[in-house]
Amino acid sequence: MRTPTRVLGGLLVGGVAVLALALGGVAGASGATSLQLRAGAPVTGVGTALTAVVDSPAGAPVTGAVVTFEVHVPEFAGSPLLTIGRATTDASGVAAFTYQPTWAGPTSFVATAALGGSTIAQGTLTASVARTDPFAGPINATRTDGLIGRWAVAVLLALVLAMWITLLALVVRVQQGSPRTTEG
Amino acid sequence: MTDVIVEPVPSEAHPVDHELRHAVLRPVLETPRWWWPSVLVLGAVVALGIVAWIFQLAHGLGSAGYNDDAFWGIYESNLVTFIGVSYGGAVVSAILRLTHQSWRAPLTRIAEATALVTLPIGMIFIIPHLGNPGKIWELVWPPYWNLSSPILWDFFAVSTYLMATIVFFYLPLVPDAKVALEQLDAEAPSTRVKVRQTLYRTLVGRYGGTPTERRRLNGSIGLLAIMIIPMAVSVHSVLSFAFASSSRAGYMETILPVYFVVAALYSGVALVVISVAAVRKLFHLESYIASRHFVRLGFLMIAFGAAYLYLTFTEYLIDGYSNTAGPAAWVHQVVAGRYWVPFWFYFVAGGLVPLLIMAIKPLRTKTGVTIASVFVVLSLWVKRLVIVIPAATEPLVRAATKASGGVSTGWGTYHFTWISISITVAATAAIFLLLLIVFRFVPALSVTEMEELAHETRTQGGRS
Amino acid sequence: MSEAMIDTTTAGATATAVTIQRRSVLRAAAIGGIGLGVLGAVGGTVALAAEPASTTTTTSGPTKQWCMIIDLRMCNGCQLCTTACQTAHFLHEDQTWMKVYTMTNAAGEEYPMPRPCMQCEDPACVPVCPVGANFRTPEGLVLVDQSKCIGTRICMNACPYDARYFNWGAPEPAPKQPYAQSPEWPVPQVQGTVGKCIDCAAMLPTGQIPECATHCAMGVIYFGDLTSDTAVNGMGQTIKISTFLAENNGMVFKEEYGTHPRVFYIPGHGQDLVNDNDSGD
Repeated sequence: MRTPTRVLGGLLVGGVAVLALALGGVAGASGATSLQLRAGAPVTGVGTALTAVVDSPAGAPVTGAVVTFEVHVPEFAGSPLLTIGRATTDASGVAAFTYQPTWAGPTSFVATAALGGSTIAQGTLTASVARTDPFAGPINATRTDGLIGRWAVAVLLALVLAMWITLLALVVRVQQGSPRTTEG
Repeated sequence: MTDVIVEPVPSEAHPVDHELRHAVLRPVLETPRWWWPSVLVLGAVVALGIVAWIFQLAHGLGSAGYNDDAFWGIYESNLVTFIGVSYGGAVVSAILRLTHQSWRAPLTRIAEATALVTLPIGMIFIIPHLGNPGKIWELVWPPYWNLSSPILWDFFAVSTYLMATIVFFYLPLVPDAKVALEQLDAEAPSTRVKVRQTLYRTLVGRYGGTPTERRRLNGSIGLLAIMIIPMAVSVHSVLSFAFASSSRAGYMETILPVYFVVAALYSGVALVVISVAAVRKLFHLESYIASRHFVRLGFLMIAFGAAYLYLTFTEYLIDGYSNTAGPAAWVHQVVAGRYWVPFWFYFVAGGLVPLLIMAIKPLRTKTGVTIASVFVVLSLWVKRLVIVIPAATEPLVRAATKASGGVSTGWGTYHFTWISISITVAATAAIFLLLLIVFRFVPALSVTEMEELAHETRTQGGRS
Repeated sequence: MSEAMIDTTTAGATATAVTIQRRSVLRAAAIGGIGLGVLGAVGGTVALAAEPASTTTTTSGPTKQWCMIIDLRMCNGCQLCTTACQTAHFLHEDQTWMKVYTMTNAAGEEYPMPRPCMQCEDPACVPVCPVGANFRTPEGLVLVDQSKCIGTRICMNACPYDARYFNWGAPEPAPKQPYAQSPEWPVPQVQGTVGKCIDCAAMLPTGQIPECATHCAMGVIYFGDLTSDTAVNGMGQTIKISTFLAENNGMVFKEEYGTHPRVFYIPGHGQDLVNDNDSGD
């Protein structure tokens, strides 16, 4: 049977054509607006400056776009994204944000620009960041810690042991008897 | 180093009371007719308790009526109660000794023996109390010790106190064992008493009864009498810390250590009265233990009883008066809620009735004091349940109600089961079983002390 | 003290045998004194040597400090968290390591409140155990070593959150587990020992969050790391902990007990979470 083959072939050609068109459209759109994400030098205690530069296809700065900065959280499976801040692009198309994390080291950022509620551009970056607000660390308290607790325990233990020794000594002392010479 | 004594001390400081010696040694030499049947019955009850415990081992603590909403219950109450009643030994023997109460003489041995048997039985309750008794050795193996734990210090305190109780029983027994040995050699030179003769010989050791040795013995007993009082106080204080180291209303009370110590003294004297009454009847010592002994012990008991009633009142008043939901709800549950029956049972049977018996002269007799003591021991056990169970069943996470003191929901329930009841009854039977055994081997009265004090009373015109 | 007590002996006593001699009491006391002196050193050594064993399971890089955030605004009380927990750890029905309480606010309205183990920084349960079966990991998890536990249940007495559950009978049988039986994964439970919420400790190194958080359909339970200040819930929503707590009035349960819980609640029903269950004194 030839007819089904032809039909299938026609569908295939048509599908490829539609896919190409669609891809071309997307490519054209992304080519229209670009987002360049950069990170400044990390400064411990201050933070890491992030800048997102949003340009139109013609290379002109996009003003008034809202850029959402996110960071991948590798602590959890799938590295979910955490929104760390938002900024609006200025006249030169630059949105700036200082990231103040509680850790230091390489971090993966995602910045997404939106205009009028729809996403227009996205950029990613992996950069090193500096710790700003260190976590105080765990309190590992046990209640015999410290000089007083330690000594109190030592004294009490000594007391208990002294009691045992005294008790045994009393028994021995009585049991032992004494030489008969002292008999009056 | 020689002891320079101003007065010449005769080698035999007191005349020998042959009648007394004979009366005291009779139960040791002749098996009373009731003895074997009693031992068998009590032994059967103890065996039932052991069977129950084996059953509990297999099925877990849930079979003893525990659950997550009632994590502590009967065994913890028993632990406190049985260790508590052992305080009679310390009080009657040590306090009366230190205050030179010469009427104590016929009572000290019974008091010390009661302490000697009740304290180990109280300690044994650690075993059914534990969920994993196979690992109890961790308590004596230092690498496992957590020195900030009240339970570990409970263990230290109680075992030290046990050691002191044993020595406190042993030391006054030394001269009596010597007397008994001489008496046995004189009265029964047969082989039937060989075990006892060996026992007495071991107990006496090289003690010869010379004045130096008597002084040394009495000095040791005196020091021990001083030592054992703070030890006894520490035991029940530390026991109370196991409860108080929490955030539960009813446990987290500054009054708890005092409360525990006074309750122990109260029930301890009461158990001594019961033991004295039983031993006096069973071993025919009526001519040595008189009504005045009971009445004086009764007064001692009721002094602690009144103090305990007062502490109960202050505790409940302050917790109930405060408008904090936890303590107020707890007091409400105990006094008027789900625990009102046991609480008021304590109040009437353990508070008012003994007070009245001691207050009304016609009731203040041997029988009266003994009945009061039975009431005290029983109701103080119930009171321990009222201390342990309500706070353990108290919900800590719950709705913050607007009106405090109201009956809140979420309270747990402790169930009494045949297992826990059997073990408790078995422990009670074990006290009497052990006492029966002890007094078949050692004289029930401290012969030497009685002879000495009688002599002293005669020569000094009497202080008793 | 001994002199005051012993010297009440009447002056005219002739029979000295019964009288407790001051000299012999003192001599006996001297034995005790020597004992005390010798043993002071021994006791001290024991006490100093008996330091709590430090747990060394730190991985490279910044130590995680696990915590949980429970957004009470979202909770509908469905108890999926409880079920998920019991399924994962093979618990009895009444072993509600993650328990949903019905609480009442000041206005008398009811609201559901999930209660896991608070993983306190200063836990009340750890110091009371006589054999040291409770411990706190460097990651901030409070765990029970069931191979040490002797079952005194004093930790159940100490915990202000009723978060501990005993194995009163035979535990629920469990098939072979992906993790070795350990304090981090106490499955199956051991009869006669205490168990409690472990924040699914064995699953955390692989980036998974606890079962209760994963299975919560409302995204109530966030599990996070205080070091990186981030937390995530079962719906993949990620939050910056410090900001989230600050903006949403985050609080801890029974703060007045000084346990410093690592579980934070976001209120939303007018509750103040100060449980006025505290004792009077």
